[in-house]
Amino acid sequence: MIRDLLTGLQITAKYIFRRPITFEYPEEKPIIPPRWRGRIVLTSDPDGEERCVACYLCQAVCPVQCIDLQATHRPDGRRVAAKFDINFARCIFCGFCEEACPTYAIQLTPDFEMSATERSSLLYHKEDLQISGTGKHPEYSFWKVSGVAIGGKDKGQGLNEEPPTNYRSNMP
Amino acid sequence: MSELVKISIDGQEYQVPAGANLLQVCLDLGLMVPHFCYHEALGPAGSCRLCAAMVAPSAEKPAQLVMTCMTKVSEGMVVKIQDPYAKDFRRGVIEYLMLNHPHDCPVCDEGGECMLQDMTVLSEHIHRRSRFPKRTWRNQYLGPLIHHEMNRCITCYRCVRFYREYALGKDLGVFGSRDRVYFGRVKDGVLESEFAGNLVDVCPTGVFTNKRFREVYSRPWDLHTARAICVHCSIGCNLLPGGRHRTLRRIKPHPHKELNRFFICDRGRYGGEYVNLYPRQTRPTIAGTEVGFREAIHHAATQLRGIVEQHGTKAIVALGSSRASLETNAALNLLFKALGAEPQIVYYDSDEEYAAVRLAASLTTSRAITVPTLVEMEKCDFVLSIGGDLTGEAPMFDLSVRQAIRAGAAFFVISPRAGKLDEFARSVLRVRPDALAQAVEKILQALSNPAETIAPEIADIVQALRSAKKPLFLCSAIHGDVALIKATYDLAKAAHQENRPCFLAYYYPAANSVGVALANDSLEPTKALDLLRTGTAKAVIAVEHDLATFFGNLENAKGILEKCAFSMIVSSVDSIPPDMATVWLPASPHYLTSGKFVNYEGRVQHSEGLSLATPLTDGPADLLLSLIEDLGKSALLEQAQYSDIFAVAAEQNVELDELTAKDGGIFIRGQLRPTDLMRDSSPSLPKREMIRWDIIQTFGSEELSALAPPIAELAAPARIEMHPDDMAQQNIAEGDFVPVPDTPSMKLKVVPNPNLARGTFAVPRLPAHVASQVPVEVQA
Ligand code: SF4
Ligand code: SF4
Ligand code: SF4
Ligand code: SF4
Ligand code: FES
Repeated sequence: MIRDLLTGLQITAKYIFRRPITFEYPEEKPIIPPRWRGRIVLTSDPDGEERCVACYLCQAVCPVQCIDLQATHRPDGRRVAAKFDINFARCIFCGFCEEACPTYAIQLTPDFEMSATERSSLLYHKEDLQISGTGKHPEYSFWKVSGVAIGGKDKGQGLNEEPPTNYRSNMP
Repeated sequence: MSELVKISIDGQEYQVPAGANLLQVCLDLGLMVPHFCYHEALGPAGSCRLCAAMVAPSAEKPAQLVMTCMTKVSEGMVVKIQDPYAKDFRRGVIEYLMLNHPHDCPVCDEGGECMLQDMTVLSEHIHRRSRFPKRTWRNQYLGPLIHHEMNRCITCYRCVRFYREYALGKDLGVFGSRDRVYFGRVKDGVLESEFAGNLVDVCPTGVFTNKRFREVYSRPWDLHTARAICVHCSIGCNLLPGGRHRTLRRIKPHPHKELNRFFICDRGRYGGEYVNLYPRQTRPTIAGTEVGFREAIHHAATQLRGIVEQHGTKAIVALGSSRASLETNAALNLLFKALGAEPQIVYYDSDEEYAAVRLAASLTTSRAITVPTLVEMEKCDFVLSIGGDLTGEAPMFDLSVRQAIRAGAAFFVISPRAGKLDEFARSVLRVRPDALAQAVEKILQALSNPAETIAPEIADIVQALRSAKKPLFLCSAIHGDVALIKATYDLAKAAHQENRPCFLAYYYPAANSVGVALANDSLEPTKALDLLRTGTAKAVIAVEHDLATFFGNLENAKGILEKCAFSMIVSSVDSIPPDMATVWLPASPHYLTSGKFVNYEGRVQHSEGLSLATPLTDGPADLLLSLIEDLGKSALLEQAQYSDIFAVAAEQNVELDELTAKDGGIFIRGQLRPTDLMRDSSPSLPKREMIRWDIIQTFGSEELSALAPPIAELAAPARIEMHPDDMAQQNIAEGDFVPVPDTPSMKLKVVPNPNLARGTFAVPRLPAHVASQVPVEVQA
């Protein structure tokens, strides 16, 4: 019996001198891997312009339907979102939207500190979601590869494009 | 029934009609063969090479790779769609078609209903191997309806085949050669065809897309849709409007196998946009002060009851509406019943319209004539268009007649003014509006007295009519010419022979003209006007009826409403200021409310309403029913089952002999006897030197669609047209301002038109009050 008691005390004594594994959160911040699926942002093109082209794919793929957007056009011909809402009270951070996005605009970030005391403050609008950086895909610019002309990029000036065809010519 | 043959497709045996198109057979069986250039309405072209399959004439013979769209089925044929060789071929074809295809899907309006996407996935072309630079094109401006994005073209030729071959348009074509083929106009400009909007559906890619939808674009999968009936003319095309958030976003045709099979006109496609802007006053008012619905309805009920008690059962006059549903008009009738008043309802704007529409509708619904469906019209070999311009007055008749013309039909026109179809006519009789009936009678005489010598101008018509196997007469009931309607009926009756069916279709001013014409109790417009002018009637109720049009103009309307002790407007468009009436009840517009409409054939069709988050939820019928409820007569409502067409018709005092359910629809049969109406002395028009003719424009003449911004943009400017010889005779020069006959307060610029009958002033018919428009705003 005495032996058992001593064995137990021995284990206790061993842990007393170990370093503790609990974090002093929030004073001490954890290290989160960059591909963590946390707060969603809308990134920008390498040229600093809006990246999202309001294609509705993220809205379509979202399993909890927490994205609601409406497309419009900017005067320079770019299609952009007139409204882009994400309801984080509903979002399950599955990352499907990021997967579906053809422009790398929507990205999940390592930020998970989003608790709120009011539901309504979890409804993020476009201006709450937009960031100025490119996020995970610094090079990609959708408008450069698409065939649609926008201000500053005429037909034939995209990547890997020929100048506009002259169909009236008879030259081979 | 054509004879059936047995064929085998991918090892499965099927019985299919002999000689049918193999691709169509496969598609009908639900076997998806990738294809682009084949379209059920346009037929095969064999140009895209995608619909390939291995086909052997019989099990013993070797199989060959053929284009299924160019192959007819025959007995014992063995088809292998899933043959590896054919699959590989199709994958290769798609890869070539995609060589220059831009990386546009995310910003392409076709995405989500793109045939190219579907066919690419179906053909299992997964990965782009080509690294060569892509060919690009410049786009063209094609008007306010259609957006052009030429980079996405896969040269299937569907657009030009529809536009030039099917719709017989001229200004869209194909240019260039080899891999430099361009589909567009010679120069930028508005597409001329009234059916150009169909390019959006016909083009399998995103080259032609709906420019209006583009403004407030949503993916098709997000749209709420409902099966609706078009309100912009009396044909009753079936539509599929789509809406999201608070607005109607676009309208597409809903295929109907007897009416609009694949296509609709641009008035139907783009005219519905008015529902996003009207009514602008979305709260009810009492004498201009905004109140709640309950209060307004209660006020109206109290006032109306008081008027009946004080002034008797004949003190109320109501304006029903030929563009509102049967339910709405039935509810109006029911309101009179609830008040214990005598129903004094007027549906028309003039006595001529009253007489003409009722006669034509009675001929239609009493089966005195055989009315063709749109599809039947296409198969006629003689077409005589009488007294109207089909393109403006019944647009889809125009497209059906074009099909008949393509098939070689002899086409003739009798009208006061040149229309777009005239260029295809074998001969055109240009006659004054008051001589139309005489012209038809002349043909009748020549037809029934073969011995007589025929006047040269009608010789070809009579000759062609004699030899025709399936003659068709199309006659306008829009211009209020009773004599013409009777004359055309006589002619069709005379042309009708035992072994030769003869078709006659009248077309009407509004979507439900035939429906309201069946109401036996309707009042003649002048009688109603007299009741109001003399003060016999103390109250007026207008339901979906523009008062300014009815009373001639806004001032007259104002004068009359001020004289009345009580006035109420129930409307989905506030084209006159709502505060002019004692009570204004804004109603939810068509496409957002449901109801039944009777088209030119007497076909009863139900239009479903979209449910969108708009500020208004009740249609005009619902508002009238709440009024009845407020009167404490809910028992009346229980009697009337509004889902039941019999009840609706009974409420309208229509005695139905029967409702015939033919294959594909319910047809109404009314008791209105044409003979009774024909005995009514037709108001003979006073002989005048110059006579007015209303031009019904495809864009801008119809009341509701004229409120839609794209239609308003396309409307031709107001003008007064005259024959150059008349102008010379009367010393009028081009550009002079001349008072409009019958509306002398208005002066319009004169434009010479050599293709107008002498002695005629032609003036476009414009809705009395097309108010300045508020731009559409997407409400988040
Ligand atoms: S998927 Fe990407 S580009 Fe498309 S709407 Fe969403 S965020 Fe914008
Ligand atoms: S036409 Fe179809 S495949 Fe081409 S960009 Fe548009 S949606 Fe994509
Ligand atoms: S524009 Fe459209 S319909 Fe015309 S050829 Fe190109 S892909 Fe076909
Ligand atoms: S033809 Fe008439 S019913 Fe058909 S879409 Fe055009 S306006 Fe509407
Ligand atoms: S569909 Fe048969 S070749 Fe195009």
